Amino acid sequence: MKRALLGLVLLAAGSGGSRSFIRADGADFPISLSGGLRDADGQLVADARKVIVGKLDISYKAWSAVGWLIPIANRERDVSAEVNEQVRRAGGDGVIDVEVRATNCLWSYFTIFGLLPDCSNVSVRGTIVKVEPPGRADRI
Amino acid sequence: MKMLLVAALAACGCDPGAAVTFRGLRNPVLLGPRDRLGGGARSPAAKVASFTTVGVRMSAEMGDGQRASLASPRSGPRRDALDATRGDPALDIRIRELVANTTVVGLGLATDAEWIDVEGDVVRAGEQRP
Repeated sequence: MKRALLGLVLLAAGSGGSRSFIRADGADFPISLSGGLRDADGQLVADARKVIVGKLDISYKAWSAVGWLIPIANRERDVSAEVNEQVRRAGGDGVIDVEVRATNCLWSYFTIFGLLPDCSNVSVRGTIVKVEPPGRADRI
Repeated sequence: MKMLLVAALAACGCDPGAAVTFRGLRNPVLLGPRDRLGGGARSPAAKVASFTTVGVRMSAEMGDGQRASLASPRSGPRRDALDATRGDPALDIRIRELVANTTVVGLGLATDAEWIDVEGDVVRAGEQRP
């Protein structure tokens, strides 16, 4: 309800915009927006055990109309499939240092005060790591 | 004209947008069901507190040909997470909602904004070192 109200306010102000709820409900690997990962026993994994094997790179556009009121594409975006595919391809065990970024599309400035559909660019980027077996002195 | 200038800035990639990351933090900040290596569903964890943070960037035409920009510091979300976890290595942050928002306001103001909302729970997930 609050979001619908906000959408109406934005529309009244003569604006466009878009929003995207990012999920990863089907991820087979841990996805951390920090550098922290836990081992199977719940202990933090020492940095020395994390070997970078690739980069996670997911980009998409989210589309809405009439402010945020009418979702057209990617209002909810589950990135699990891309994460699973990219981590498997890299031979990784998880993703760390994920950064989520949103920018207005060029098109956003020509939506006639939000009457035409509007979009945003969303990116989810991170570092795919493989975790080496624990040594003697690398538990935190 | 103002809108065209702003659009040109966006087109050239000069608009960095809003971003959220917790790079440099040792506590896991987790999106999705996996909370540790080796697969399996999330282990049960006691909620310690709620967590929210935001990364925002906005700019506006000031009327004299100048644009004013405002952006939250890149380290802001990490600092919020540090405050929430208080350096306790047994705590994780599990994200419940991660939302990328953008808007452009017309009516000659040529104001645009982007922000990332993060909502989650601080949980006691890690085992204490014996």
